[in-house]
Amino acid sequence: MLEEQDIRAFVHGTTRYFEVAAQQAASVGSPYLVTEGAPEIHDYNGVIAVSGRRNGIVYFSAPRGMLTVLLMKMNESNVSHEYLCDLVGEVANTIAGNVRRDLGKDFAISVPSVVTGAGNSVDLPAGGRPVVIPIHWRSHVAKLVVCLQ
Amino acid sequence: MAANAPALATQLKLLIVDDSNVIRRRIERCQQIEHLQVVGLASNGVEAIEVFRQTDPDVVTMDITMPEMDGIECVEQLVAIKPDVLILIISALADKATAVEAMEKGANGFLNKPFSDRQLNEALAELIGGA
Amino acid sequence: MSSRDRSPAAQQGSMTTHSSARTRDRAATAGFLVLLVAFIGLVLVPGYRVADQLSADTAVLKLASEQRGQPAAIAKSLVTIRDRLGSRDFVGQAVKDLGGSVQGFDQSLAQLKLSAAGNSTELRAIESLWSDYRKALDPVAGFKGLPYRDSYSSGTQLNSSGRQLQKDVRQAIKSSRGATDRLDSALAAVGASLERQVVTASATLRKLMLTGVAFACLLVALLAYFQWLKVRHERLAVEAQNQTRDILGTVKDGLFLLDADFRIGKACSASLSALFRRDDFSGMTLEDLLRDTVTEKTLATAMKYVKLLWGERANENLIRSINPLAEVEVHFDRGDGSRDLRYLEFDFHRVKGDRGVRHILVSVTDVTSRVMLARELKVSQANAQVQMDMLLGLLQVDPDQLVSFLDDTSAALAQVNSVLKVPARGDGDFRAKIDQIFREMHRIKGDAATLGLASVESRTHAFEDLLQDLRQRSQLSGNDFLPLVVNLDEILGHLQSIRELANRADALRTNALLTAAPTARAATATPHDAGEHGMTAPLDALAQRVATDAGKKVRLVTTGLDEVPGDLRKTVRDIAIQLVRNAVVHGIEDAGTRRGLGKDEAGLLQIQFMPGERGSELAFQDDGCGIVPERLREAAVRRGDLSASEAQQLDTKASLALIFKPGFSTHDGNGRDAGRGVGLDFVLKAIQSIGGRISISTAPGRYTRFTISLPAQSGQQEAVA
Repeated sequence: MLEEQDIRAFVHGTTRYFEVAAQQAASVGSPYLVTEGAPEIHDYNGVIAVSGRRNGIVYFSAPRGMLTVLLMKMNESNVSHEYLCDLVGEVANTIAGNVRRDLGKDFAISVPSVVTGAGNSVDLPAGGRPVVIPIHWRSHVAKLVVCLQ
Repeated sequence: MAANAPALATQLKLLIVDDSNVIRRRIERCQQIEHLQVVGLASNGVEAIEVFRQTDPDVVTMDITMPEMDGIECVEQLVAIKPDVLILIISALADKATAVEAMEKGANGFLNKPFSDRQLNEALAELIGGA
Repeated sequence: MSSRDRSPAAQQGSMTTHSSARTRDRAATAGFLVLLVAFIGLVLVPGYRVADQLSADTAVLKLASEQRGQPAAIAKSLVTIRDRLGSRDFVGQAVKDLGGSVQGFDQSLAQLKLSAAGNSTELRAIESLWSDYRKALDPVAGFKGLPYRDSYSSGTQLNSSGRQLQKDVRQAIKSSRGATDRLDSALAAVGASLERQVVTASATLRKLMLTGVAFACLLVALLAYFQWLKVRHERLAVEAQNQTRDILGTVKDGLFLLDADFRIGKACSASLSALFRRDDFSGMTLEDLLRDTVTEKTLATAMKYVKLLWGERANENLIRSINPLAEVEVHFDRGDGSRDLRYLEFDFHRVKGDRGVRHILVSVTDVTSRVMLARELKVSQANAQVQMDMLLGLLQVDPDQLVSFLDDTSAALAQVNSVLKVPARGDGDFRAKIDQIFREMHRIKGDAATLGLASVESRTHAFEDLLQDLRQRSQLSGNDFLPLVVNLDEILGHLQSIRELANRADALRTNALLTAAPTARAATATPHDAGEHGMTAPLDALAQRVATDAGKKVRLVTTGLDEVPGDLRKTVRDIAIQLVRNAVVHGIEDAGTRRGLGKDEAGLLQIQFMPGERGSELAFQDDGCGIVPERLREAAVRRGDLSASEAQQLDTKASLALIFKPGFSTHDGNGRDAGRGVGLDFVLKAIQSIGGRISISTAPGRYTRFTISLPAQSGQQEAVA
């Protein structure tokens, strides 16, 4: 079952990341459920497995353009594929890590794994309807997907 | 802030440990503390210990969630090698219990990700100034 | 009991007075010691010396006065010897006496020489006199043998030594005539000098004694001062102790100090006993205190944290920010096997001294009510859900109706989700979604109410509340929509469990059919048919329920509803649900008002379906208060849909059309049946979606009639089983 408090914590972590790391706030789009199959993904996806108090995965899915600009905002001139993968993993890790402030230490999180390519998909655990929260930043849209059992 | 630390006449050596290359480079780029010179980079705990032995740094920034060996265990080992090393934890793990554990193992400061350049420099300055 | 250990507050409070008192004490002690040394050095030692001298001088004085008779005795002995020699008597004894006297005087003189008068001129004069005198005396005193010679012829005669003795005695007597007096006066002078010395010494001794008395008085005064200080300290300490006791007895927080071994100090606040339900804190460690009340994990973290507090590595702010015991769940055995759950907040402060951290001051507060309050909502929500689920099991809903409800609802919820999915950034985008979602939810709520599925009805109603709340917010963003997806997910989950329950119920029914007699089959077939075709009963149930909720009475009369063709049935039913609800809430007056107007207490609600070749007609009429166009215009202005001048220009027809605007309502209530103003726009949409039309006719105080024209049924009619 979804809990608003959990999702809110993840969403807050995501917007905060942009605000602090890139000094430019992101806005939250209209959230929706994925009732069948898996949500479509963007070019770069940082995936964190969550266990303990809640089990499931959380991933941050972003288009190349957004990550490139984000890197540049962080004064990083190297915007190669490798760096974009690194960044998307780091964003996911930060979002999940920050959640422990509100949800406590029993919320264990994994090292991020990165899935690339819009054609690929992220494996979702069974038994939960994923919530997709679009994240608008500048002219780009990324997705935060929260799928907890 | 960094400028008025006249006691530090000698250079302090900094080791940056983070599994993200982007973050490592960001810390390296952003830190503007005088007398603090980056001498090594590592992407996990095991590598960190190896680089630590080679470069003998005075200050370390340490991530927690990393493959191979996590930051908490690494802190414990680094302190065993060099008890007066100054370690700043830079982690996304924002819960109190993790912070307590890291400090207990011997870390000296705690900075949450995400961080701004100013927050990073303030945390480093406090770490060195408080030594 | 040591006052030092009583409390931190007492120690800190008296810190300043303490340190100044300490230096004063030190100075007083030093003064005391100096006085004591001075007393010994200046009074006791000289006094002893003077007294010693005095006693020696007194002894010599006595000796000197005794010797004054000696020269006279010597002179007398000499005369005796001379006389006895003359009379030829025995002289041995006299000579012996003389020798004794001479020897005695010698000894006395030696003693005097050793005394204080030893160097005096008088004594020296005596010495030279005596040594001269003695030369004359020695031959006499040293005489030995017999001075006589006995012969028959001349009797006893002096022999030669006798004659010599006689000569010596005469000589000595001659010397004695001057010497005796001079010695006597010289001895007197020595005595006088000694006496003067004794007098002086006595005077000195008196002075010393007086000084001693003065010193003693001073010392006594100092001791008295010390005593006074001590008493004063004690009084202050007692006062501080009392204050500390009062503070510790009154403060609501549990307060105690921890030392470096994590032991709890002797002084702790009275509340601590209440918080931890024990009194034996003294000597206990923090670990002992927490062990049985918190989880092992919390305990381990707590101990690590307290260790950090003792170290100086981390600064106060950082330490404060990572306090893991800000809200700790604790359990207490009630004694009857059950456990009492409380939440405690621990706050740690370092108490610093000259050499680093001296203690950790721990304050403990019971925050149970705060935590409970925060959780209360959640718990009550969960409880409500459980109750609903239980009720669901008791419901006897027609299975086929339930299946079609579930299908319709799933489709509607999918529609809601696809509305959510449409990208939105600005406030307007979000606001547009609310109306669309509201319509879907409202229809589900109507269906659920018709079927008597209270658990679904309450959920969709809660959802409408959320939407209503969003409508009133000034600036909408995706964050505000998070509760919507969470609730949508919950409703989906709930429908899923209803579906599972329905399947199980179905399986049971089939089982029952297979095992039971054919009569059973007939028995179940009737409600089955009624459920499929009969619209009247559920609509009547809805009307009665809504009327009861609103404190009204209503009578529903339907005609021709059984003839509604299959493909229209859903639309007709949806429309009817909304219009029944609308009529009861807005149209029909309460019983009292109706009586006053001369109407029947129960409002009459008529639904009529008339099929026709070129389309069918659905009529809907209540004998309520009718619609007043002016009130619709007022409501539209109030809502901000129209300006006052725009409203003025609307004619009656245009005014009546206002009621089909999304979200329109003249009703201010927030019950589950109306006041949302969603029903009629939904009715309009439903009619338009199949190409129908709707018209209103109304007479204030008498009736409202909705006439709905539906197009001819499409050929794609599905067979109804």
